[in-house]
Amino acid sequence: MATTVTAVPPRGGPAGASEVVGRPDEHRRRMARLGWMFTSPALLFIGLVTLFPIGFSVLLSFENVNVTANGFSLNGLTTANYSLVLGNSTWHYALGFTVGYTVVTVLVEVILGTLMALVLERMVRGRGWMMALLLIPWSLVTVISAKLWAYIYDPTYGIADGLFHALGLGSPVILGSNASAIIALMVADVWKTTPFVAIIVLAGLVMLPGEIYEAAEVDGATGWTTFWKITFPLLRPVFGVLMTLSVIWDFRVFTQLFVLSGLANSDSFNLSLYGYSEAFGSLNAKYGLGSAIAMVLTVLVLIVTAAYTRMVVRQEGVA
Amino acid sequence: MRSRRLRRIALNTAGIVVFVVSAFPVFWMVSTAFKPNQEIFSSTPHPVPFHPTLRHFDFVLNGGIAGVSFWHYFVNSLVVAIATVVVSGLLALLAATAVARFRFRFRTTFLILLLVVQMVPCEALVIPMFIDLKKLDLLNSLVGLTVVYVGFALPFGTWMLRGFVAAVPRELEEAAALDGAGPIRTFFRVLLPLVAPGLVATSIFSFITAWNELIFAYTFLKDQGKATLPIMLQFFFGRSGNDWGPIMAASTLLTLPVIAFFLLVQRRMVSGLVAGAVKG
Repeated sequence: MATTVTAVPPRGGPAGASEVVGRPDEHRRRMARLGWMFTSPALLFIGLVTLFPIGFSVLLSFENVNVTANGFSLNGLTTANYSLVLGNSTWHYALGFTVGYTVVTVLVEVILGTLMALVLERMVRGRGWMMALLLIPWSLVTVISAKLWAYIYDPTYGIADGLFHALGLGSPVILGSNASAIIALMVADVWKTTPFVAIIVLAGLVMLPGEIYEAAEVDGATGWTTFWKITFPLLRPVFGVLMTLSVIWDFRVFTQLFVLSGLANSDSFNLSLYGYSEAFGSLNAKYGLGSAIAMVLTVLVLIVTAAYTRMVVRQEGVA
Repeated sequence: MRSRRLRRIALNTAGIVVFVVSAFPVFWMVSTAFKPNQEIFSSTPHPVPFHPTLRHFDFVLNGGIAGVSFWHYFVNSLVVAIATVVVSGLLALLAATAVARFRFRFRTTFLILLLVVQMVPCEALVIPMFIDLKKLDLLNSLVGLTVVYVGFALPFGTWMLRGFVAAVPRELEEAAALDGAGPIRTFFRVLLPLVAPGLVATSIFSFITAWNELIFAYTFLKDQGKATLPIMLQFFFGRSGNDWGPIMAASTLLTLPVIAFFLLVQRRMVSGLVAGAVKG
């Protein structure tokens, strides 16, 4: 009797114990053991590749780092890096830029990606090929895709200019003025990441049973209602994770900005670019400062996503 | 009735616009790959090459960039990418199932860890990771690079799969348990088919992450013989202007394996319920 039930974890809360026939302690211990077993391999890789380097980065941010041609040396603990960061007007500007950039790009990506997924889900024939085609932007090497857009936006050789001309919209130098440059950046960025959102949402959509939709249609529900009342609530875990991760990534996007805008124009600095320019961008390389900026960025993202994280973590594995 | 029609038209138009904007740069890339240099660098660009040429493809495939043949780079990239997909897929699935279904004290910490780890900009990690790998003697090795890529793909993969596993209603597993299925059987017959689309999505992500990653490959691999395709691409970017022809040709060639991988796994992107895990 007890053996069949050990396959099933009890529902959340202390009341769960009542569903367990047999020895609840043994069951709990077994679950804990399995939990550890299943997560330790992943933890090993993550610890090696990210945890130790992050720890070192934190250390760097508190040190006076002296960079020479042969390497760098640590000259004593200091909080000067942090005070330099937080008092800096460039940093404040970059912060505002990053927040605005993130809000816009995440919204566009998620909305467009979901639309794409909905359309793809309805396609029966040719879905594979269509998906493959839409996947290509995401699959390009990031630097290459950024350079491709640089080529498209190029004032002399670029096709974007030609298109604007053909549509009778004059001849703007896209990367010249700030407003159009920022929009151009966002287009290049969103272009690459929207297919990713679409794939994830599509995977979620495909998981849903068809009977629900048939029932809804019989009841006369329109597409809009169906989406908000049925699809979205069922896929809330998937959307939640997707939005959180999108925010995290767009907050620290680097390559597209680096390639299309560079270190010269501090009007298009987001926090990653600013950090990089301080660490490597001039002859006066400041590893400590760069690390401090990166750490502050991390904390900021943590704060922003804390609300969602706490909500997820509190519930018993069902978001 | 009319509003339904309008809505459909609006949705279709939006779909077409999105499709065109997504596809056009790709089309532009491919078309440039076939253009001779005069057309690439002309001030009046045209969508379709007037005198298509295979010169750039020939240069990429047979040119031997930095003394190493294209296929050598290709094999390096492929091996690393496939290894990353397999290892990270397996570990992420295990960890995700544990996090979504089991209760253990470390669970909360693990989840937060996974999330926080992604918040750190990876550019900041290059130097510390270099030191890390040097100590383990994994520098300048494809194995070391795979370890790095798996480490990067795991947090995202686990979080994503957790979302998918969490979306599978527990009643299904409980029903299977009541029918007498043990935990392993439940996993393979019930959970796995339902989560298969999620697994496909995360494996595509892992593949692409490994396939087109540049910074870490460039920093950690010293031998040209171990270099991956993105490193090869860097050779076409010069200080005095870029060789767009070979760049576009190489990029086009690079997307083909991704598409192939995708077409291979996407057949699993069908409703898990159709796979017959649950009746009724």
